[in-house]
Amino acid sequence: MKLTSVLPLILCLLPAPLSSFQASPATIAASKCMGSIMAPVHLELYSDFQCPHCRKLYLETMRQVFADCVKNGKVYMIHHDFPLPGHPYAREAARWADAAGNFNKYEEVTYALFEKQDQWSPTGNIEPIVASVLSPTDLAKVKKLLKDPRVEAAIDKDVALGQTAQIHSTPTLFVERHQNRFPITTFVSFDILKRLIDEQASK
Amino acid sequence: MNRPVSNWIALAARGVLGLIFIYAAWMKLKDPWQLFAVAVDGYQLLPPRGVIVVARTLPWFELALGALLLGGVWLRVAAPAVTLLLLVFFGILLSSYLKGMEIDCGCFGPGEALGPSTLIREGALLAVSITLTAIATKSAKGVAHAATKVRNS
Repeated sequence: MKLTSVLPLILCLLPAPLSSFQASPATIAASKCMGSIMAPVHLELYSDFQCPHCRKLYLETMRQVFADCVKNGKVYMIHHDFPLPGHPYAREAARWADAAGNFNKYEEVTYALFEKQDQWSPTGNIEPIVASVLSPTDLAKVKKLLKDPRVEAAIDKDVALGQTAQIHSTPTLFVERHQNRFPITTFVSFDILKRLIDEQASK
Repeated sequence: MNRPVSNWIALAARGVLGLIFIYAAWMKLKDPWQLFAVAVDGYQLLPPRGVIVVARTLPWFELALGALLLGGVWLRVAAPAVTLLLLVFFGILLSSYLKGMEIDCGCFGPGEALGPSTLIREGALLAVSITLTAIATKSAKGVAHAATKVRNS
């Protein structure tokens, strides 16, 4: 297995820090992982919060993958930020999500950002969207971390991983099973993706 | 067209299309069919059942057509079938491209993004296939005409 594919797994396994007011790359990385690392199929999703195709894939397919395949132990899911240069607020959105990830709220914020993408994407006014899913206390903590260089570093690490994996567009989803690594660079419906996951899991 | 010249053109067209169809089929069949299903699903034209039917049968159909073209067997059926198939492919690719869909072409397995080069290639293959169909149909008509003449004499 390549180092690039092992690195996020190692980060996901690292323990969370004692202080919750300081960004921890390990906690942020862990918050982007779902399910058991022992699951037969690993999915790695590179997405951009401002990309409409990523929104569609996340809301129509990945949510079902989480509820079905991750929950029943077939899939271990790793989410990577891959803000594209053409999307002016994508990195800012990733910053909010990663900072929330430091308090294990990555999934909630990610869902809100994708669901309400059309509300914040034209203006970059992300805070009200994040505020709608966090308590005022959590929101204050997340806001404090937005300028933490470790949050920025977490995004940079994902981008670097994506570049190593030669990603040119989002969303890009890798379906991995042992030595097999299949890239999916287009929208895929849950029914079809589940068949691929089941086929790989049965091997 | 001069008969020997058209024969050579038909032979070249059969070789090119036959090899390309067999290669396209092989690139899909070597991976799990579900992976090709993902590419078919990307076009968002068919319901999941339709996607599954296409993903499971199309590569075998391509393989059969490629073999028929290479072997020069049932050319009067195989050549129009290839033309029809390429016409459908070209129509779908062009319409998806014009819609601005950023999808995987799926033509030779996963990994080829749909773009102008895909359309140029498919257009060129379609032109070759139309030429082959025209030659195959013409020669069949010629044979039928000769047979009629023999019967009437």
